[in-house]
Amino acid sequence: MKKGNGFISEEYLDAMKYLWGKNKDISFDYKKYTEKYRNLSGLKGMEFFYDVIAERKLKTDKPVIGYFCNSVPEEIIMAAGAVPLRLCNQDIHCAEAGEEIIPGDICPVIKAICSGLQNDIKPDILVIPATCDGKVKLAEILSSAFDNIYFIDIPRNSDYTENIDLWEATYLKFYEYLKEKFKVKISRKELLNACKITNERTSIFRKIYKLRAEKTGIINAFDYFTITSASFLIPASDWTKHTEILYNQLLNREIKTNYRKNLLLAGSPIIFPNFKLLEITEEAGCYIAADILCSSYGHLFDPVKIDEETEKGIIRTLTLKYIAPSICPCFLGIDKLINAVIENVEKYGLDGVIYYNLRLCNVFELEIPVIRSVLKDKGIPFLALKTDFSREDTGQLKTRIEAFMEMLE
Amino acid sequence: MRNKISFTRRLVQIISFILLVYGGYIFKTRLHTETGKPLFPALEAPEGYMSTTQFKKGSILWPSGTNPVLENYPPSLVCRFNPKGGLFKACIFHFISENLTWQTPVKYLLPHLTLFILLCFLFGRMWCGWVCPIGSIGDFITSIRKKMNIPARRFPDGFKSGLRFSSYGIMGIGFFISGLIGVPNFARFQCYWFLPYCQICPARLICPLFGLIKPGWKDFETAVTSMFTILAWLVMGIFLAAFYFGRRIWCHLCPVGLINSFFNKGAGIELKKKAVWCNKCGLCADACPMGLKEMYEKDSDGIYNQNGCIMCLRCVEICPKDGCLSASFFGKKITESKLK
Repeated sequence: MKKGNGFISEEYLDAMKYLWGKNKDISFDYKKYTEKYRNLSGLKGMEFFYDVIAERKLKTDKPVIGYFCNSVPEEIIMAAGAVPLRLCNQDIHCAEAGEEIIPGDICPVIKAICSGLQNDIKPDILVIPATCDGKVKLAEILSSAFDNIYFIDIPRNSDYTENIDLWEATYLKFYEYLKEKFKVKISRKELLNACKITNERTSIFRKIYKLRAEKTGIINAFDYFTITSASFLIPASDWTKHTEILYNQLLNREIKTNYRKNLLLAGSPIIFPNFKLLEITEEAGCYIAADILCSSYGHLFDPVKIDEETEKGIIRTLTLKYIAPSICPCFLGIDKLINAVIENVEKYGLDGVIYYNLRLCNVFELEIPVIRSVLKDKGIPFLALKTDFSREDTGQLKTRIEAFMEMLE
Repeated sequence: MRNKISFTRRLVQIISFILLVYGGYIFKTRLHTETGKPLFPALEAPEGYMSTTQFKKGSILWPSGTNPVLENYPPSLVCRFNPKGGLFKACIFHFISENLTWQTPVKYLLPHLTLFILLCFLFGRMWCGWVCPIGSIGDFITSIRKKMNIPARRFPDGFKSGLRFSSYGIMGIGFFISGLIGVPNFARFQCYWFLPYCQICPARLICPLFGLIKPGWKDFETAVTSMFTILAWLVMGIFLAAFYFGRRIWCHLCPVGLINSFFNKGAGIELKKKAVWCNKCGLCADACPMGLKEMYEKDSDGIYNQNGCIMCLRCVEICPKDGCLSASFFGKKITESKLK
């Protein structure tokens, strides 16, 4: 069977026009929405980041490559002269509009992505990695709306010894695809430059991460997750520049805090505007001192450390940044998440762990029993919360967090 | 500095190379026996036994020249560090082979062996990664490959253990022949089979070149020397190819490294892993020039001095998690992994 665009045969491609229902207007004034967070933060350096996430527009004359998840190598995209744009979307309005296309009990992120892409930014190429089932099917659904979709197939076992050669081949294929698509010659120098840019981003992120964990109340959860959400939308060098300014402001900041407990947040990603859980935790007086989420820690924490500065060597090393240490529950290898949780709790003396499980995401939910059991053995208090973008269950969540906080005291 | 450990290692390698290859010019008066009594009793071939000085020019084991400096000191043969003097020889394989043939009493060997074992207990196989002159040349060849943008060839674990097995074979055969020709009945074979491994060792062909001496590279006088000559070429070819394509894959085969590696576990220098801080990125295994994976695979805290480890500390340098891997010397931390 000949495939029209690599996903759906030509025969059915035309018929897929019925898939896209009527285009719902989902524009929402985020400028106003961010106002309350701005007032809470009171940091000058944060203005820029709030503007970025409120506008949700990427200003660039370079080609834009949109991608999902944390398994797409940004460095290769940057070396090819394009701008990577992470399109993971947690907007409740998008998710509601997405129900026109994807009905039923499907992860709200997938729904939000579907309708968000219709209205939002149009990337030149869309890169979809085979992380969760939703993303795989998303490639088929979106193939009727996008001409250029690249699918990165990743084996499920994230063990280095098992699959490193497969990962390398996968990334090399992507590298060749981009070279052909943009008709550019990418030299080692460009790859190294791109790695340098992301490494700078990593190093400033680690500084902020450490500062936040060590000084209770130095930065509130809204500010922190705004910064990490902004890293999806702006080029890495811009992000580094503005975060450095912010970091210097934080160093001189006077802290007056009424936080009761320092907690670690793990689990599903938290991306603006899905700050419901953060609002509850802040209100309950619990300080998110560290987090192991793929939207912040997973996206920014790991550097590219190049062993061999050959073209293939660099690309091989990239897989060791994106896939091998991945904390995504889609992969086999829960040790990494457990290691990271225990490391952070021990290193920074945190009081407990909150596991945020986005409703209808099976893989995150399946991790809970293992983590709960291990943390119980280690004597670390653990609370798993299941919720989605809607605000219906706010009261219930609040009660559970309050109860957890009281248990800690 | 971005690569502090690598830089230090390069520096040590260059200094060691200069000292080993040209050291004779620098330490001529101090170590040479003419200043007085040697520190230790000299190890000499007994009457009627073969020694390298008896080989004529152009034959395989000719120790390169008559100039006393060249004869006594490394430029002749790196592995023959002061062959007539009382100090130690750098290459333990040469030392043991020679004295097996000569049947030297153990009490004369004690100072040398003590020094060797002491160094091994302190540094394990660090010799290979930091000092070994042919290892340094190999690293230089590797850096050329990197410049040429050719990716490293990686070998399966089975191949590596096969090489290690072969290494045991080379060691066994080498020592067996050396011991056998020391028996008076077989002494007539000494002129052909003396120092069998040294005859094919690539260091014998490479190192004299840096002293501007032509090694005995084509000796077709008899069938045995022809065989050794051809074998030496073959091994030389393997050596160059191994370092060009396979990083340190050669070092799995090297019998000198094998002897050093016996002391790796329990050596003064220790590679430690804090397992909970590990993010399982596999960089340590990927960057290891010997292709060892234990550091990555282990899930509990501990000291992981693997048998093949050449203590280059590349894993500690490349680990992206602060403090996850560290190197210590008798419990005192020397260096630990850092982001930058």
